[in-house]
Amino acid sequence: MRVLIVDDSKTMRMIVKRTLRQAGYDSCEVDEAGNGKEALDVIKANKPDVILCDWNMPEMNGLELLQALNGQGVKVPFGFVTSEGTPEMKQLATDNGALFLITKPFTPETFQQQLGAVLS
Amino acid sequence: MTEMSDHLAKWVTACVDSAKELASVALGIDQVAVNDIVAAMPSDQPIALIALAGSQSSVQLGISASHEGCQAISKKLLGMELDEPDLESGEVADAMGEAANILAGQVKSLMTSVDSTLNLGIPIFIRGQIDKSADSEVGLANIRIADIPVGVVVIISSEQ
Repeated sequence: MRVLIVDDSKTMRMIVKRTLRQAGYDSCEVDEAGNGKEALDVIKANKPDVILCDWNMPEMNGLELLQALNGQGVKVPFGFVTSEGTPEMKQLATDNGALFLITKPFTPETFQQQLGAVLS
Repeated sequence: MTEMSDHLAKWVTACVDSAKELASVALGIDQVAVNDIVAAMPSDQPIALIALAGSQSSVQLGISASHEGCQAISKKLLGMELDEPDLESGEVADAMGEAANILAGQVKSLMTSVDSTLNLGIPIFIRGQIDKSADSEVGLANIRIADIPVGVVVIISSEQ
């Protein structure tokens, strides 16, 4: 399985990778991108099985990335991992096809719950 | 708590509650003590700041600690042991910014009843003294996350 982590913070990308391992997904291959624009290139090249994406990022934010993928007809399971989780954002995420929204700070159990359904 | 407006006090309380959540879940530390809450800027030490702005509010939230404290917070956030080699300055800046980002996300969810239009900015990390403008109000909660002294700062601009 191949996971793409999109976050402008290297720290958060490391934390997400560590949490994936702690949640039992230690055999997955991980690609990283620092914003939505970079992610589009990585998605084209590496075809990830799932995308874990921050919401607030410079250049192209997570929602814009999801909308760009929708516009290109690219169907990849997509979830937000973000510091904001208001009902409005959750609704916006769902309306655009995101499968889940994980709010920081998160635990390995949260990853298991959300990713388990997607990856099973 | 030093004399401050009810509005600012509400923001500071939300920050302290969010700092406890950050410490517990992201840093793995449940021991958080509030030493005091004052209407003052933090002393001359590094600070990660992030804007939280909406139609009713224009606020800067910050996490401030000594250089050693920033190292400790960053290492805990990254799941490292405190006796591991120190992180490079850019790594600390990124980690402290992410800590501020997590804190602000929690505060935003707690403060939606005050302002439902709040939006988060991108965090910045400053090594040096910051000053408030004449028209802004400051609240500082001096807390301890385990043995790490940390300042949690709220700067509210009165101009909209």
